[in-house]
Amino acid sequence: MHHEEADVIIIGSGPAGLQAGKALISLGTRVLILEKESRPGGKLLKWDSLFPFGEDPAQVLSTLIDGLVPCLRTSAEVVSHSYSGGMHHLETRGGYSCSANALVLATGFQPFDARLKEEYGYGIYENVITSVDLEKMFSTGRVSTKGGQIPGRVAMVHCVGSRDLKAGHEYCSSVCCITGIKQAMKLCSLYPSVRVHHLYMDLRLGGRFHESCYKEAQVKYRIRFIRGRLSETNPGPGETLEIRYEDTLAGKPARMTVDLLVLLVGMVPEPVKCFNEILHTGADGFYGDGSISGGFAWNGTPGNGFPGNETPGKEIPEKGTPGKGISPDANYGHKSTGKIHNGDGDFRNGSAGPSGSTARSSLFCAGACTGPKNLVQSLQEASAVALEVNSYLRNIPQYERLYQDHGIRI
Amino acid sequence: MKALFVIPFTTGVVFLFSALAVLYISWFRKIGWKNQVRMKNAVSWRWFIRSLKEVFSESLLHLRIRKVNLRLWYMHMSLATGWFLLIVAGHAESAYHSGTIFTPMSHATFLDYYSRGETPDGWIAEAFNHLMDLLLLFVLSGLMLAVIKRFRARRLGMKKKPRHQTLDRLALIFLWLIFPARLLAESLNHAFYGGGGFLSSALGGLIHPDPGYRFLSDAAWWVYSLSLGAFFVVLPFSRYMHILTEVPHIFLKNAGTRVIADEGIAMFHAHACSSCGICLNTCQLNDAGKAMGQSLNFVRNYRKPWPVKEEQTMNCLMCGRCRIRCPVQVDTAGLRMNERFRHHSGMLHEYSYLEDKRVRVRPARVAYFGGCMTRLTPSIPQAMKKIFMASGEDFAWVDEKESICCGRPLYLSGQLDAFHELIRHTRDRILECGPELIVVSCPICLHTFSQDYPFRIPVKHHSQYLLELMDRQVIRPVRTGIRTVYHDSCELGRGLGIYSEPRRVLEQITHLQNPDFRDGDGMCCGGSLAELELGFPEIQLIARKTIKDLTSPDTQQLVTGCPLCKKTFHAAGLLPVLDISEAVAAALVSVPAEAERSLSSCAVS
Amino acid sequence: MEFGFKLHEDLLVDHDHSLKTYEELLTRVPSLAMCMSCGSCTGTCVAALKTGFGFRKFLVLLRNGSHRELEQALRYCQLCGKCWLVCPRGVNTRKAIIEMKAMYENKSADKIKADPGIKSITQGKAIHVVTQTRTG
Repeated sequence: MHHEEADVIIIGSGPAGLQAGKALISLGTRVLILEKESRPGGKLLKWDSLFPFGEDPAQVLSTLIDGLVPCLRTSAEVVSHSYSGGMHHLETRGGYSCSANALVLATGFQPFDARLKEEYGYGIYENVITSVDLEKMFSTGRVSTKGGQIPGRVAMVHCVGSRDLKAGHEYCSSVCCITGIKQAMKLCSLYPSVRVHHLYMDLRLGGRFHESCYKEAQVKYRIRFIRGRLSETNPGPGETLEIRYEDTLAGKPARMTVDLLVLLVGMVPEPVKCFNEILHTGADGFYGDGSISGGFAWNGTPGNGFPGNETPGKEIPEKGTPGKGISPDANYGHKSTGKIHNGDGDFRNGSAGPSGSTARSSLFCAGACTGPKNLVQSLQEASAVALEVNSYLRNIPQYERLYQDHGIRI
Repeated sequence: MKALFVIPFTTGVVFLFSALAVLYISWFRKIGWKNQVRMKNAVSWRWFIRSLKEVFSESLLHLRIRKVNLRLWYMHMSLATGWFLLIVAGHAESAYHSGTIFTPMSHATFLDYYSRGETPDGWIAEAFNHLMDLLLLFVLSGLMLAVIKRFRARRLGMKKKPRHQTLDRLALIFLWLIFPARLLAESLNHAFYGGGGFLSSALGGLIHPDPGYRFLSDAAWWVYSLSLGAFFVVLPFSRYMHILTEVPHIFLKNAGTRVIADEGIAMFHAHACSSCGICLNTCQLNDAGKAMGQSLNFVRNYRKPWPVKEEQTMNCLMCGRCRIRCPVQVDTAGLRMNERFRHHSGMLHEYSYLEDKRVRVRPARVAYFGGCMTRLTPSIPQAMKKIFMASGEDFAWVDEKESICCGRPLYLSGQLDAFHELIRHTRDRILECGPELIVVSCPICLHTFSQDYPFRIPVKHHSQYLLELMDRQVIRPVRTGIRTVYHDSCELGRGLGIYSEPRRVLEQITHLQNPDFRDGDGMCCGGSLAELELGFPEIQLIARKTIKDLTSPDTQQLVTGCPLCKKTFHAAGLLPVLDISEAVAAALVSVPAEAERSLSSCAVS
Repeated sequence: MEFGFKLHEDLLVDHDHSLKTYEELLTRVPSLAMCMSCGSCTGTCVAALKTGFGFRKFLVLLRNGSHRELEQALRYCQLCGKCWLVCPRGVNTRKAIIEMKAMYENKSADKIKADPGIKSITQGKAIHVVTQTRTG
């Protein structure tokens, strides 16, 4: 059994995890980064090019990972966690274990499984793909229908698995709109004969220069935007698909025959099972409570402003409040809602650590696992979390001694 | 002065029978001609004896309640049978004492008063004394359980107990007074005047009143008579109407009469309900947290002359679980539909837009109707298409290009006129290809096709059709070891009685974990279109509970026969959910080449 | 200074007055407030392609006070429930339709208290009957 110790363990080597690691190392902290897959980078390398300017993800990754390779442990999926003597103890699948004073969860997200929207036909009809599939096709340099043809007409559907009570996720996934627009522009530049139509409910383009992408899509690439959410996909003549929706601006029910249907799937949370008891998720399934006054979303401690709980330590209601009319944002496909534990020493695996540090206050989260966000926001959050972790570490008495021993000035 | 205390009792009895006569006659007069015909045709010795047997086994012995809970059964049974036997034995005793069977009721009821001072004449009189006391004890034991049920319902297996209204509570108090009052009156009677059976004379001896307090005995008789009289007076306005109404109700029910659209029969059903609360416990709305429409409350309000509130009428899944467990077999679904018709039946509609479609249609032997729900679960008709092609069937998928509704959701909302108009159009569409057989994927459609259209040609659920194909070896799906649980949809199971065909299909292709079924025990998915008040979160609460109750931790997939159930369970995201057709299609090894056809729909336009 | 032009009342929406009935309906069907006008309901509606109406349009007409047109349009609904199933916000469409019909037709025992003018809207035959101009 291989065991290591560090000051901070970062779980996840996606952009947020790597950025946090980079920042922490520059502050003199000993860092370990655990990655469950065999290669680092998270979802970064799944992109063919990054918005808004089409940068190369491999280059971004190499910048991020620079200097971090010695800290990286791949194929190390965390399967158990305990807390004792002021230290977090983790065990991974495969028998490796490690301990640290603080933990940063940068576990990211999963794309929504489009088979859950059965009426859209993913997995049933051949030419229905997701944005993830399309991005993979871009990497190979060729996009075609199942029959090998270049598509003549493509429809891209926004908000698949997002803003959808019936799909189990009511939040907006923040990046699908710009993703769709970028993919449409790439498609049009690859194949000038393609006509692309977007079916949207609202266009959420708050990121920097995202709005100008929208304009470029409309003007340069003649991409059409239709305000209406996809209702059904039916098989069309031959290999085509007939989609049904309403053109709400025209106020009329509509249909269109397309060669390829692209579903812009949202982000869904993927909490790590062994932290379910101590790290609470909001009603949408992501870590943190989303409030400002109650503490930042990246720290698992419940804040004063935690919505729905007047007193900390109260259990989060599982699925909205039944029978009371309009339900709050509840998640139904999501299985874990962690319970809140309050204060010092009541965490079951161990007593309070030195000077009141607890399992909760030494747990931090960063990146997409605290809510859908784009790459820039993930990196920004990771840097901020690193500062928080650093200030936490400096306040632990044993660290004061450590720093003094090593002659490091605080 | 003869026994004046008899007056309250006699008044009560006279009032009761007059009220019953008035009510029953008015209900009988409301019975429609269809039911009258059924009643005329049903009259026979067999019907009479069968109904009489049911009166004994259900109104007295309450055997159906035995299946629910033993203590609950004993409570109901002892009160009903005990009181009945008290009356019968009391009358026999009275006849014995007076030498004629034509004695007034009051004589039998207050016999101990009338026979005070007489010494028992022979062993028969003595035996009667003890028998009456034994029966009284029997009733009192049930009464004790009834009191417990009021305050600790869980002890009798009732997780949810009825909340009674004022008049019912009043009647309850009077009822509870009757038998202790009788015991007290008889005991005091025997204390002063001697005689009596083992219980009352022993109790009398225990009380051992001073001879100067003889008036206490008369007072006790007054109390007994008053409680009886009060109870009888309140009875026709309370839930205890069921005691007597159950009898004509059982006879009418066995004559094949139907509740739907018949206010007379409906009144018998509604008043045969005893508000026992068993329906409250089987109702799955408890899981949803929104249960104001549950059967007990609905039927109680149905008895009143004014319409039931819209919210209460429409808050019902129409799953049928309450009807199965009702000790008196009140047709709750029929009453519900009557009320819905009352609210909505004449609503305006305009379906002429379905009329003028003229297309050339290719004839086919089998008309496959997916149903409007399958547009949201396209895996089902796609699987059926694959199976049809593999079997080389001459089929036409009649609603491949356009969606049309069978009309049952419209019916369930109570819009009867609109429903009849709509089904005209749907029937025409389906029959356009001149089929010999109709196969449907949706049990909701099947239910209405079988009962309301109806078609002259056979209509089958796809599980039945698939079983036939498999029995004839036309398709040969392979067996996998996937651990499967089958869910009985309400419309397919309780609605149409189709329980075994889907299981026989699944047993051949999967490892079925629940091959046996108890008729009527199936659980609802919660997604019913008959229900108008629940929101999605509440429906999911029901769906999740059903999944938890049906499956075990090692179940790998849930299979159902209804697209709406599939959609509802799918949204819970707990385990993979498949339709039967999907399970069969997945198990088909290969599709024969000659079955690949490009022409699969019947519309040529 | 007023120019005295004649205003076409039916060509503009007067939000000062049109919302009263909608507010009443909201007390019965609170989930209506959640509609974000995505149009999924219309896209899946069994009757939409044949009549041009869908649930979203019902709400638009209601909010704008077009009661006559709404009452006619409500007659096309088959109550199949597909709109209710696909709605991403969980609007209880079927209940809203029945409540609106009950309000216009004075059918339900506990109906919504609407404008007095609404009661006279329901007249016998439909004023617009949709006919198909092409088959298929």
